[in-house]
Amino acid sequence: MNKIHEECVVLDHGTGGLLSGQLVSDVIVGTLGDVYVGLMEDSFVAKLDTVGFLAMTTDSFVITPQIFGNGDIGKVAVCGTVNDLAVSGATPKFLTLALVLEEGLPIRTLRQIIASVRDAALEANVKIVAGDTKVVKCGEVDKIFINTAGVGFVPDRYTHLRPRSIRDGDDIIVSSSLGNHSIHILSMREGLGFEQRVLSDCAPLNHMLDSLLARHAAAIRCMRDVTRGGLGTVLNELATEQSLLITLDEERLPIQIETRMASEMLGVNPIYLANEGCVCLFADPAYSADIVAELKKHTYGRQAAVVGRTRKATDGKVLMIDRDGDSTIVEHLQGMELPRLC
Amino acid sequence: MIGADEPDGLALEVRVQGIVQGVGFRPFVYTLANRYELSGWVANDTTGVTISVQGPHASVEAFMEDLTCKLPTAARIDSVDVRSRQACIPPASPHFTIRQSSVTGQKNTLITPDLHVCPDCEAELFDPNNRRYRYPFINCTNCGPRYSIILDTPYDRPNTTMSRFQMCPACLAEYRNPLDRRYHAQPIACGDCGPTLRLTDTAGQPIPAEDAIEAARDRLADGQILAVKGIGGFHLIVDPRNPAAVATLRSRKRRYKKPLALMCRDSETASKFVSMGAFEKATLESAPRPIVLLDKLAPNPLAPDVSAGTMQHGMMLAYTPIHHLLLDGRFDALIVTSANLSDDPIEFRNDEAIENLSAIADAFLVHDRDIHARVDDSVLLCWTSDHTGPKTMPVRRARGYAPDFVPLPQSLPPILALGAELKNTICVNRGNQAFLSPHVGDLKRGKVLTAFHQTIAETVRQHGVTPELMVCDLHPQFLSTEYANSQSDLPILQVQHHHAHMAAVMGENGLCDRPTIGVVFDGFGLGEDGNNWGGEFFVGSYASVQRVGHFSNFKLPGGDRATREIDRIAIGFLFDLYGENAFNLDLPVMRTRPEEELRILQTMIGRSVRTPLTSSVGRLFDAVAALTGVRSEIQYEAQAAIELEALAGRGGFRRDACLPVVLRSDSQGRILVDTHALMAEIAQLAVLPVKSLQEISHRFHATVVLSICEVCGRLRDRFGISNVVLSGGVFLNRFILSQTTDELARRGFDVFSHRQLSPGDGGISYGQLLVGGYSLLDNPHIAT
Ligand SMILES: [Fe+3]
Ligand SMILES: [Mg+2]
Ligand SMILES: [Zn+2]
Ligand SMILES: [Zn+2]
Repeated sequence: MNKIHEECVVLDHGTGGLLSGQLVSDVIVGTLGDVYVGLMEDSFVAKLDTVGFLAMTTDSFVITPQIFGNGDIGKVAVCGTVNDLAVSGATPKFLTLALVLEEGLPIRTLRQIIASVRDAALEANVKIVAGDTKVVKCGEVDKIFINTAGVGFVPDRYTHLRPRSIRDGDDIIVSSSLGNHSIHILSMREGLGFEQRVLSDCAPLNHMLDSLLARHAAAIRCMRDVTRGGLGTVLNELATEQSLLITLDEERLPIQIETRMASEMLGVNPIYLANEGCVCLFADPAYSADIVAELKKHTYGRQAAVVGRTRKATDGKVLMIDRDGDSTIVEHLQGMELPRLC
Repeated sequence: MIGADEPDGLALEVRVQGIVQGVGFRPFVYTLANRYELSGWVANDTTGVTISVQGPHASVEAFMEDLTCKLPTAARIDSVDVRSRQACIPPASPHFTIRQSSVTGQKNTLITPDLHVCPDCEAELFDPNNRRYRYPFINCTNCGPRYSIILDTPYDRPNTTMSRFQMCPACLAEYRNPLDRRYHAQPIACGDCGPTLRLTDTAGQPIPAEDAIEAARDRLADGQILAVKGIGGFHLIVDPRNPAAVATLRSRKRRYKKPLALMCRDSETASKFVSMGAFEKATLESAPRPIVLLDKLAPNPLAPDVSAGTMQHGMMLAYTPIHHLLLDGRFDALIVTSANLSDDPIEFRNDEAIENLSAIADAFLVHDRDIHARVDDSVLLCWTSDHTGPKTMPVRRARGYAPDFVPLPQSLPPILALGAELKNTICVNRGNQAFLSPHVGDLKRGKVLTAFHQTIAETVRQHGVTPELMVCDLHPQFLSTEYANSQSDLPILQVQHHHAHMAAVMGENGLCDRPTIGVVFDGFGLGEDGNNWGGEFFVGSYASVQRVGHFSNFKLPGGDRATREIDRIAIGFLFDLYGENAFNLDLPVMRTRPEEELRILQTMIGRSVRTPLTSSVGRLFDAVAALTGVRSEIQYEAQAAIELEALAGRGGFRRDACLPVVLRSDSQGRILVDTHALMAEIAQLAVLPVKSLQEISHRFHATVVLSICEVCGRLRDRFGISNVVLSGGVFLNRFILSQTTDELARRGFDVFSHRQLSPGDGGISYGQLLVGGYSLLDNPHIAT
């Protein structure tokens, strides 16, 4: 009986009783170590010495498989929220960590995931300040769901970073190869054999964006992180909301050759595939070469490239221009990509 | 009526509707009235023509009879409405006038389609003594541009793009003389006053030439590609005897394989290249001057690349004076293909054409008569069956037909139907007249979507329609559906794709609203169950249908990708049928990809990753073509099916050629034609060495025909219905169309197929309109 408790998560781990306390203090807080600064009080209270604006965000993470080739759901849960803050111009400071665990989840797996949370938080230089753990019956979640909320601070000089700052003629830059996270996960899940060659790009981008903004904030209008739905979805949202005609040059999109092969086999368009460590930014074309050069200095920005440009228009639309100069509409996907051809 | 004379005369006022403007109808009426010595007037308005006549009773009656049976060639009367009929005293000295057009009131006029050069004008064009000798814009009331230059109704010169040209005294005299062939010919012009032709380079700079036509001909003879402005848009023209020129055209236009249309001056010349009987000849010479798909003659002096892989050439006859001048005496045939970049809309404005085609054409032959509405060439195929005799079927309905209406079986509330996504057309109606736009194109192309918006605005305005309902496809991601959702002012009805196909063929055959069997086979349409349909049997009518049978679902590994890489579909069947053993099959299709790719496909197929299901017969043709090694990838739509049809030959349907048809039924009692059983049979035949592709193709075609007949037989037993309608792009396959028609007829069915509309997605908007209209009649609340 005790043995099982040590090996797997059981319902009593979430009742708030002694067993819960053990799980939290031993497995979670114990693993997080210095990254965890919560005090087991009702809320985290901090005195602010930072001037500027508060940025806050939250995200829930559900991934199958939870542990993939070069990362796991813990890493994604930290990077996702850190990147959401960072693209708003914020320096991420604090994260909360809420777990929903499925009864039967091996404790070993949980430790591994929490260790990834710790490593990613260390890299991103954020603290975990509060947490919560619930356990649900078998089948009610798939092994583990994680929610993180994050707080950061935006200096005054970065508050212009918003969609409405985008101007006619801006260049569009992406910081990494498109679609790797999606292909890696899908290939892991279905056994397609690409998982060794295409790795997830999951990474915290805040340091790279910090140094980029320090030099080029004035030339950058707006940043977005490219996650679920891919670049196609990010750009369509902006095009609609800001009435932009966005044109992408198909040939300039950074796409790893194996990702392209996998996309072709699967019949998916990499423009709709997810990343977890890619930023898309709109910039003054006079500085776009410098911005790309700056991004390329960083590990996570080595594939950076200018991929398109914007025009103010009466109604928003995203067009892909192919090698031959033909343009095709990049649609706003409603759900999954459905077949449509005759 | 006070007077000594008895009122032995008759006074009539009649309204005539139909194609009665811009076709010499008023001069015809004028001449007729004068012949019978009648008094009165005739006038155009926005709804047609009004005639007021009075005279001796017998003369008026005779006049009325001639009015309907001695019409000018391009005119057509749809209705004659006698508004008043009174006895009168015949005027002593008859006087008949043509009144000025009135511009008030509702728009109801039919706009005439564009007309090919009439024989009179053609004769004048080549008559050195005529004042319009070699004038490239010669026309009269029987011919010339109409729809493409009309800005608004009534059809008068100020409402056309000819308004900027001031008539010279000679033209004006003809224009004003009711007895002249050019009386009120709105595009009337001559070398002194009308549009002019010029040759330009790719930057739009004039190329000096004494005679632009001769200079253009020299360039064609040198193997250059010319962009030439026609009636509804630009064409790219090239010498088909010059293989290098054809290859250059193909690579620059990025149209690598799809057949290119040919143009000849007359059917006699055309018969040097294609074979034709009396029916085909009449179709080629018919007023709309369509491109007609006709069997090639062998040997053939043309570059093989003109239409490789098919049995047929797309052939049309010269229809503008410019075409006649270009061909005259120097070229038996020219390649005349629409001027656009792959699937973009056809270019129709000088500046845009020069900008967009500068990388394709070597020179431009342009003129200053603007095209207001773009319209592509129409394409027809000829087919025959024992049951129907020779018939035509439109592949694309555009120039020469648009914007004439297609009748609806009954008057319906005004509706705007937005069509499908590929080969898009839109449709609006006034009462029982449906107006289809010409071919718009593939909406996913950036430029086509803009053309789509223009076409909607223009069509609605031109016909003066205020729609009560908008109809679009069920597919949420079709851009036409997105358009509908972005319009907040109208209620929307989404109609299942194949239901729209079925309604279209029922409607154009004037079938009444009664349960009918619909056989709809095409490439793809989203079904109500979220799968991709395309091999459907329905029972129902305009407002609703029940899916009572279909070809059983099979896999499309990689979704849309499988519609181009068609080997995926065949591989899907093989892994489904034989699992791991598929690797041991000695089949051409198993040799097209490296094993690594086959393994990935196997996983995708086994685990249903990105592998949607379809019942599409179009895709089944692809699977057979790929399985047997006809081809594994296609470069243009239906390429594999066209090649497979060519292999099947023209032999008739033989029961003993058929492979076993396995029918099953699903949990809802639908009849399923077992596609896996069929593909297993084909795979047996195709195991290497393949004996005869001709035989396999023939047997496959015959089996599809038999499947239709067997399912229809069961449906007749169950529902007691013996009307069958055929629609969907698969019925452009002449073997399937004619053999199905005959075999069903032999089995006692009444069979209907398309005559005026394309069975492909070009006809969808008309079907959507019918579904919307009848739904509205059944349930008016949809529109409130
Ligand atoms: Fe269709
Ligand atoms: Mg987020
Ligand atoms: Zn004429
Ligand atoms: Zn003149």
